[in-house]
Formats: sequence, C-alpha cells, structure tokens
Amino acid sequence: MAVIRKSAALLLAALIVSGTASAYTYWVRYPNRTSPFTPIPRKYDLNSLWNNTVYYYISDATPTLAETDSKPGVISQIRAAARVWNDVGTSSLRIAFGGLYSEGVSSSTPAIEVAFSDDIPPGLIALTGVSEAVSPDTAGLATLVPISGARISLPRDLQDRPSFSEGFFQTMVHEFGHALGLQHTLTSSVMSTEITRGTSKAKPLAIDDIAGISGLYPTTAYLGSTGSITGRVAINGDGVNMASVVAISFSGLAISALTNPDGTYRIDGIPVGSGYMVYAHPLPPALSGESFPAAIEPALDTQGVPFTAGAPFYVQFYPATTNWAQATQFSITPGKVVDGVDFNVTRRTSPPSLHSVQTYNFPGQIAVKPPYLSRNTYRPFIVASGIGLSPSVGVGLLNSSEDIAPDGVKAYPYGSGYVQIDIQATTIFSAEGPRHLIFSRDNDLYILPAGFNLVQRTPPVISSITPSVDEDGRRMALVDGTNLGADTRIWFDGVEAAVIDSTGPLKVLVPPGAGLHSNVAAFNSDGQSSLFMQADQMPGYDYDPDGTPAAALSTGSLPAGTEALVQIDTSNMNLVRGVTKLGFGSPDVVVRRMWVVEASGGGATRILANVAVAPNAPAGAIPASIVTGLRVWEQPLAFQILPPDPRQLSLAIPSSDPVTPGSTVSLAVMNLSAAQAAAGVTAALNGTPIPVVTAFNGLVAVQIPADFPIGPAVLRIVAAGQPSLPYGVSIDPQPPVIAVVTNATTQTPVDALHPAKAGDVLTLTVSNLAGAKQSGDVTPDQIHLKFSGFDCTASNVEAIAATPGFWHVSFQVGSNVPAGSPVPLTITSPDGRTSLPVFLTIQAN
Amino acid sequence: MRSLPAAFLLLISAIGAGGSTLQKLTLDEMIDKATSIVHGRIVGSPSSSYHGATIYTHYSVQVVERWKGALGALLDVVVPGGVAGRERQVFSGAPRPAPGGDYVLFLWTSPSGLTHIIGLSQGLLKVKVDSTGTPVVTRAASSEEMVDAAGKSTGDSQLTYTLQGLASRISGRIQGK
Repeated sequence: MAVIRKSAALLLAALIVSGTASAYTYWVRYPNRTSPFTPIPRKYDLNSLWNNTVYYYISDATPTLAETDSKPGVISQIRAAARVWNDVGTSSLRIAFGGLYSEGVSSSTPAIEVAFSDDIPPGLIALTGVSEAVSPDTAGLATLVPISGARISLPRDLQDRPSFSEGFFQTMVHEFGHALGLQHTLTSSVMSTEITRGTSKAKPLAIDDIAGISGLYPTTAYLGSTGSITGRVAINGDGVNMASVVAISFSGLAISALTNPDGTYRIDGIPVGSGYMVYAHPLPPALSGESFPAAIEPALDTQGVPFTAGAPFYVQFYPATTNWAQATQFSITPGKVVDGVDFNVTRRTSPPSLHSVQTYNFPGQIAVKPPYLSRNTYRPFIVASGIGLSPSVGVGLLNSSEDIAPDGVKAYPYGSGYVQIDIQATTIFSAEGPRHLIFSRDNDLYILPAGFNLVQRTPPVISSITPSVDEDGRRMALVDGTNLGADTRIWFDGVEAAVIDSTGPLKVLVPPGAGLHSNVAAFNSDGQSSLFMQADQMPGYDYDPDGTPAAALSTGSLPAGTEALVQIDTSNMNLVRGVTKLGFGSPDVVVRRMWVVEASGGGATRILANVAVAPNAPAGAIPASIVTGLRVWEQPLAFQILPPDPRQLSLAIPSSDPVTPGSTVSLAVMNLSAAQAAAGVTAALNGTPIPVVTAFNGLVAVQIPADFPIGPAVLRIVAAGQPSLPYGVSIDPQPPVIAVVTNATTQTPVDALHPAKAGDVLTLTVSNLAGAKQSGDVTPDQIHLKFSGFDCTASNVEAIAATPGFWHVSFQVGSNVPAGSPVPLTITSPDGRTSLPVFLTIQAN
Repeated sequence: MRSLPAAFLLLISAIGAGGSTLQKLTLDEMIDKATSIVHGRIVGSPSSSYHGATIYTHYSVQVVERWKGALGALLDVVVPGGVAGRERQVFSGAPRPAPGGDYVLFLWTSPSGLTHIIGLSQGLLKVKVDSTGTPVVTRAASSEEMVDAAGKSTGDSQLTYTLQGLASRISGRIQGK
C-alpha cells in the first residue's frame, strides 16, 4: 500500500545526511553484504575542489579530421558538451574548461582529460576511464569513494565522426557523464546507451540525467523541490538486486533507479506533478560488446566482490499488473516521499527476449534517432528494430491520445528485421513532447520511454548564410531558411552565435574566429536541429584570415602555493569579456578570476588574471592557452611551476563578498609571519598607498578608499621590506540592499510576528538595484530573486518616485518555500550584484 | 511512398559499455579490421602498468591457432584499466579475460605498439565445449540491426559457430578479399 509521508522536514534532513540514498545507476559500493544497504557512490569530493569545480583539459594534439572540420571546431564542441552538465542548476558540481594540455604533465588535483589517442582500437568510438585511490575509505561513516581524475579518450582519427555531428556531441555529453560519476540508465536519457538514447543535440539531457547528476551532487534547493518514490522489488519475498524501477508520467517524463541487493529502491529527483505510474523491469542481457547486463557495472563490496544482478522476472506496473491503464497514478509533491510502492514480481526462467528497441524516422534522407513526428512529417511512421521485435509484436502508446494506426505494425519493406509503426494520423499531435511506446508479445512486455517525439513543425533547415558587417564594424551573418524562429539557436561549430534580430532571417553576431571554415547549425526548442536534414551537406561560414594569434605573459613562473596577477597582452585574438578563456595545461594551475581589458594602445587585447598554483603542484613547465570563440592560441611550456618558496608573500581574498569603495577587505597572506606583520605592513592599490587596518600572522585587512574608481585594480603589500606578488581585485559598485519587505496583501512588514505564507505577494524596497551603467528602467526579467534557495520570478519592478535610488520589487511566495525557520531572500541586480540576504519566516497555510 | 536510398542510413551504429561508446562491428568487419586473429589461452597472471597516462592490464595469450597476423606464440594483449602505484583506473565495459580461459581474440596492434582487443569485449569470444564435445564460439546478440557503415542491416543477433566453422569463416573472408 502506497503511503505519502508528510514529514517533509525529516525527509529533507535525512537526504542531507545520507547524501545519495538513491541507487540511480551510479558506481556504488556497499560497506556490507547484508541489509540495510546504503550505497556509497563514486563521485568527486566537493570539499577537495575549489569552488565546487572540476576542470577539464583538452589535448593539444591535433587529430585527423574530416575535410570541413577544424581543431577549434572540435574544441568548441567538446566545450559545449561539458557545458551541458555545468548548466544543470540543481547540481552543485561545476565543470569548467581549464585549457589545453600536453601529454605527460602530472598534477595533484582531480581533473578530466580529453585525449586524442592512437590506442583506440576499431569498434570503439570513445573510452572513459575513472581513477580512484587503490584503497578508498569505504568504512565507517564514509559517504563516497572519491574520484581522483578521469580521462576521456577519443580516436586520433576523427574523419568518420565529425565534431559537428549529433553523434560526436552526444557521445561527448555521455562520456562526460561517465567522467562525473554516472552509469548507464534504461530511461532514454543521454546516459542510456545509444540504442535507446532519446536525447538530441538540441535537447541534450532528459529528466533522468538531471536527476542523476543532481542526486550525486545535490543543491539544497533540489532536495526540497522534487519528490521521491521508494519501495521494494521481490520474488516470493526475496529481494531482487539491480531491478530497474521507473517512474513514468503522462507528461512524457521518465526517471529511474536500480534496486539495492535486498530489492529496496529509491527514486529521487522526481519533478512535482501528477500522473506518475511506476513499473519494474529486469535488466536486459548483455549485448555484443557489453560486459554486463545493460552495460551496467554491478555494485561492489569493500573487498571488490560484485553484487550480481538478480534473477530475471516479468515486467510489472504497480500494483501487480501488466496493464498500464490499471496502474496506480501517483502525485509527487515537493520534498515528500511516496513509499511502499512494492513489487512482488514473477520469476522467469529465461532472460527477457523483447528488449533493446531503437526507433528512428526519416524527415529527409538521414535517419533521425530519436524520431520526431509532426503534422507535416513526410513519412508519418517510425521504424524500429530490436531484440525480439517483429511485426507480430503488439505495439501501443502509454501516454497519448494518439494511437497506432489499424494494421499499423508491419514489416518495413526496405530492410529485413525492421518494423514500421504507423502513427494514427487522425488524432495526432495533441501536444508536443515525448511519447512512450509499449511492446508486448505473449507474457513479455517492454516499455521504451520517449520512443518518439511529437512536434508542431518539421526540422529547421538553413538555406543561406550571408556575411555582413554592422555599423560598429562587427561581423554579422544573416541566416535564412525554414522553421527558423525566435526559439532558434545558431551555432558556429560549438559556439553559439548571439541572435540580434529574429523577425526575418536570423541576424546573428559571428563568433570570434579567423582563417577557418565553420559548420553552422540551427537548433530549435522542440529538440530538432538542421542536422536532421543537412548533416551530410552542412552549411558553413568561411572566416577571413586575420593574422596569427599571439600572446605574451608578464610572468612566466610562480612558486607552488601562491596566487598572483598575470598580465597577458595579445594580438589577433578577438578577446571578448565573458567569452574568452585563459587556461594552463594542469589542474594544479587555475585561473581564479580574469578580466579582459583595453590595453593602452586601444582595443580589448589584454587579459588580467589571478592565477593560483596548488601547494603540492609538482615543479615543471606547462602550456598556456587562450580560447575565444573559434580562435585558439596555445604555447607549450609557457609557464613554469616553481618549487614552494617559504619567503614569497602572496595574497588572496577568501571571502566572496564584493569589494566596494569604502569597504574593508581581509586578505589571506601566504607566508606572512607574525614578526613581519609586527614590523609593519604597507599596501598599495594601483600603486596608490591605502590604509592597512590590521596585520597579523597570515592576515592583513586593508581599507579601499571611498572614491576609488570601479574596475579591476592591482593590490600589493610590503611586509618588513618583503613585497608580495601582485593580486587582482575587482572594485565593484555597492550591491543591492533590501531595506524592508512588506506583505502586499496585509500591507505590513514581514517579520517574526507577521510571517508571510505561500501565495502572498511580497514587496521589497531595494537600493543600489541599478548599476552605474544601467540606463532606463529595470524590468522583472533582468533581476534574479532567490528565496530559500529557490529561484523566484519578480512580478513587478518600479522605481520609487518619491525616493530616488530606491525600487519596489514584488514577487509571489511559492509553495516550495518551507514553512517554519527563517529562510534567506536575496536579489541580484541586472549587472550581477547580489544583496546580502534578509531572513523571512514563512508560516504554513 | 518513395523508396529510401541507402544514404539515409548515415548514423553510425554505436552502443555503450560502461564508460565507453562502442561502434558495433559485424564479424566480417572484425575480420577485416583485426591485425591478428588467434585462438588462444590466457596464461600466467595479468599485470598492470602505465602507458602514458593510462593504466593497462597486460594478459599473456598462448596462441593455439593463428588465423590472421604474424605475432609470436605468446602474445601480450592489453585491456584498459588496472592498478599501478596508488591509482586504480576503471574503464567500465573493459573485458576481464579469465586466467586459463580459452578464447578467440580479434586483435589490433596500435601505432604505439600495444595490442588491443577489438571493440572491448566485441573481439573476445569465449570458446566453450557443447554437449557433443565440439568447441563452439558464441557471440551475444546485438540490437544494431538499424545501421552499419554501408547502410545495411548487420543481421547480427546471437551467433554460435563451431570453432572450426569460425575458422573457416575467417579464412574464407581473408582469402576472398
């Protein structure tokens, strides 16, 4: 019997303590071989990463490429694939590009390498290895097996798999997922094998992927904003290990977890909503090339002994039915768990014989997988193949008013072993989204989540790309074609081009690049792309030659354990703020912050960067690289890591608070002794002396002058005659300040005696909301409110006429904000400044 | 409905094996792409070492029969992953040949000189003896009937060969080229 527990607070606490109680399909170990089973996942230890960030590095080797491909194109596609995971806001793990690296450089910091290897044998497209210590601590209270690094190896010869293709991109997203700690799932996500993968380059993640990465590295908000389902899968009372349990919804979502050795399971991260059914199915047997059933590695105990998958059984919906129409439909509410969703399944004597079905269709001359069907689809059918699939197999739709046409399952006439499935055209396309397919034969049942997608239009097609230059001299391009609209994104290889005007042909800002051919593709919000129609004849943009990129570093070496400002002057690099990335070829040397500034000669040709060297970084020479759009500069052996120097003073600002004019800033000063501090410390900002407030052993506080100009500045101190390394400080305008919060409903300030409740509209009185460069009104979409970790949308923003410099910002309290203890509310200005939090109490309705 | 040309089948057949993405190869493709094909037994204990940044586990294969290639009687075959120093590298999906195990191996020697099994476990076929005492080789089913590089169904569901039949198939393919 399924029961919804109401103790959300207890659940939240339990989730925070246990971290990842869900087995999802992580690589896990169990500390014992008897119940209760608490999975210990292999994952990055966020405590060992700076800013929760794992850096990835791309080999500086040059692969052999398809004729129209380029090394900057490959780099851009790899970066775009990594960004897919970085952009999952409910995961606290960040993934950042660290630069190009040379083989043979050793490091002490966890990182991901992307290599082009001569040692990829035929039959392999990519290979990802994950490293861990030989004796991970899995005893006692350990909650993770830390990943110490990962390596994604691609063949050096990429002629048959161009970087702009759907296949290359999705493979990279998939392999990055492995490198971050995810195994395969059977829920049509990007972490499914390519057989059942239901994602596309335009929609690279399924909800199952988001749940997977977010469950491994959850943010606090994530844990409270989604729901869970728990239960057990058993055969005659004996728990079934590695059964896959799937929560599947009418809205097209599917999210899954594997059972523990005792048959218990927990599906976390289920989006709030209704109409969820739950089914359990056994893992399909290993296919050719797979070492384990479903290519999922079983969990290990502390001795490395696997918990092998349980006996095969017949697929079952809850409660005990093979008919989805008779299945219980669950509602998921935030922070709550539906438990007791138990399955008593029937053992079968042989493995499942109907599984691993893949589907595709032909909007043009290219097979598209997963299929997308629209009202105007030229061929309104999908083609399927799989183990056990034949025209005699029953096929149905789980979540759709559409249906299979009468006699619509037939042998596909253009290839033996294929099945054609005609979709009923009379009622088709009620709503966009994925549709789940059900295949049945005798007692066999196989469900393929997101077996195809319904869309309103056919894929985008680019018919022409016309170069132009705007009045500011910027390179533009007019991209014309069919099914291009306001939701269309245009990529030049892996770099997204800003769309300036979408009212006619798309007017886009051409990303930085020179002297190369770029492959241009269009991606629509429905998951389709121009690659569906044009992958074999890609439209392109040819960049003019623009001189050889060059760069010179002001500092060619730093001791281990220091951080310093490095100035890099460049030419022919097209530096762009927020786009240009500076990197060094080792995870031990990290760019903590960088600014693109104008050099004295004019033009944004200078980079200022705070570069930090890890304390235990091995000495040696490493490359430096700059990537901006499709422009790449790299210099091998550009930077030298020196042995630690116990006399060298170096600065860092531990706090993330903004440095504003008039503020006091605390500096951590490496190697500053108490004697040096006592002997006297002076400080200078851009060469101008500034007051030193305090100086202790390893700590100095300085005062920023109230009239100091906004922008990056160079800070140095001198202690007992010993100068520090230079350090970059960004002098920022004052952040917004929330002066008061008023309940618009009751017209009273919100405080402990007058708490707000879900549904109330609150009005904030805020100062410093508009930045120095802000002109005109501030609109609700320009600001960002965060309440108890949840993103909120402002309903109204208006300047207070009677009080210049102050603004009223209104928003409605969501039902996801927990009642009880005071919770933080912050506001972020259009230029990215975030206020200190105010704490508000929410009472239960 | 008009006929679809073979060019429409442009997707590369790919499946996954843990931390890898495989390109499904037909038996004929494996025969063509292998630099050596042998029937052999795993002897001795495997050992692991770095080759560049990657740890490989080395298996010694005593050659029983050789159908392609000119390697010696004792082969050094590598599989990615293993333990070296204080580091364990795990490449999920990498096969783990059993010491003493009897296999047909489709091998490929890389430009760096390492000899790999083709397509992870695709190129490692266990030799068993059936109820009649005949050595047989079984290849697991694949769902890759959708595409191959030529746009044709690979038709490669579970296949069982006698060892002798596989040898004939291999030699026939090699001689027919």
